[in-house]
Amino acid sequence: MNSIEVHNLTVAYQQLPVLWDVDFELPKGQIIGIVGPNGSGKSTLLKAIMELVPLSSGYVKILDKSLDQMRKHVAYVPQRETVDWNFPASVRDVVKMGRYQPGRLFKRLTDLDNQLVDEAIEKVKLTPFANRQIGQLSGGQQQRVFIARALAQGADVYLMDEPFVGVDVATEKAIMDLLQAMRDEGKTIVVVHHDLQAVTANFDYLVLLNTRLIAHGAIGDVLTSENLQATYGGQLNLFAQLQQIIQEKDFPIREKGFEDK
Amino acid sequence: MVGDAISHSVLPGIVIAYLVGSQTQSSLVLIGAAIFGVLTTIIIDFLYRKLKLQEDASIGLTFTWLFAFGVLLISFFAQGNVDLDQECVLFGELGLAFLDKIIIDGRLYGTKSIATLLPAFLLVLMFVVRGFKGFQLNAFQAEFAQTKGIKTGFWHFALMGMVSVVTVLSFESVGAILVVGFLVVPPATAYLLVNDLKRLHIFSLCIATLNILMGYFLALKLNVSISPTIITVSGVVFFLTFVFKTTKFRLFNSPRIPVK
Repeated sequence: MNSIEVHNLTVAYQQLPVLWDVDFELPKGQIIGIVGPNGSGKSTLLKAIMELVPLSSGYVKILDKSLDQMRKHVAYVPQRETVDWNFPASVRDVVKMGRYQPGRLFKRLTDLDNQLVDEAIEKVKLTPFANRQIGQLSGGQQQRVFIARALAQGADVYLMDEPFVGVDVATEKAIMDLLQAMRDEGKTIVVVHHDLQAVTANFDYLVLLNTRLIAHGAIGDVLTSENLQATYGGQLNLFAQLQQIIQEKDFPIREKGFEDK
Repeated sequence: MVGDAISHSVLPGIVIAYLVGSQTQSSLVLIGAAIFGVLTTIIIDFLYRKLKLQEDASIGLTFTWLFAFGVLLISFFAQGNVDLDQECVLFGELGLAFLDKIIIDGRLYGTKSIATLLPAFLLVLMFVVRGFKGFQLNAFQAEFAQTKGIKTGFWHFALMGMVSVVTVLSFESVGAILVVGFLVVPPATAYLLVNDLKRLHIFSLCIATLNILMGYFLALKLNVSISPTIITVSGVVFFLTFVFKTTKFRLFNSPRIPVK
């Protein structure tokens, strides 16, 4: 059984296609990276899977069923910038939102709900911050709040939009460890990521995207220079050249405040 | 400012209700006004979400258009010596609210304002308490709610519907400045003090009550108009809270530990 199937998916914003005839099937129980340059439609792909944007054509299946049948089994982790972090809510308040269900909004959360919320906060190591207002957290901690909320949903498939943006290396490692622990429990994790730096090496499966689907498969099979050229095009080339120039000419890259280093 | 917009855009509703009822029957007028209040929020929402207009532009376009339409309706159908303008129908004055008494069998049962606003208050209170999670989630992140299959439209229009009905009802009793002022100023003051949504609600109500009491008695003392005094006091309380908060921050916060 596939975790997610996407067939002939086309999404357009005001006539301009953002995704064009994307078609793939993703395995279960793996960490899957969706990688591509800015504007390649990665976030839109997640939104299309969650039916947050209208599809021009195609359809999506989650664990062989439609989204409406499987909503309880999918957790969506939006980009960190999409919310107002000054909102009067604590870490626990936000994680609790993971337990809100349609039709149960007028009822109180049960003891089981609260227990799951506490466990989720524990897993992302935010227990000491549980009552803190979400604006008073670092970027990495805010990201972990969102992940805790997804964990509290108790889903099987997790869709994460750029969870590694704006976090330091230590947090990056912490989040990656968490994702690997989730995978080892049999969860499927789909991560949108904008570049091919360090974290990509920890993914099991890659989807290379640039409006069209470039390639998808186990990480070893997909990471060919041909595929990367097709995904990143001239950009990759430019960076490679720049790196070469910097190396050859010992280009001064020190900045103010780093004079001694 | 949706409340401000509603204060103008309900005019066509009032005129139509007047034409249908041929008298300034206040119940019919209120229904007409409430319908146009909700309609205003629907149009604003449509312009903002579907046509991707900025929110302030959507509000500005909607209420000026509806207000102008209302003025046109008056000049078309209510020509001559007709006593109809929204000032007299809609804009109440707190100082005169006691005149509208409800007397049955020679016994006083309170004023009309209490009879309309108290049930409205209780209904809104009940709905907000019971549906707190829905409003909270929708305000914080409607997109996330949608992914869980929660009907975000329901919560949005429930909120906007309540705002417009309460606005219209309150206009009639206490006047525009108090309604628009109290939609914003007490919550803004509370927002400076607390960062928990439940406490924000409770603090807002307490601050609003205090502002009213202080403003009311100050107005009596100075023998001036009540509504503007209450709002002035509210504004002063807001700025005092702001000053208190920033100085407290400076006085009691431990010095920042430098990051090595």
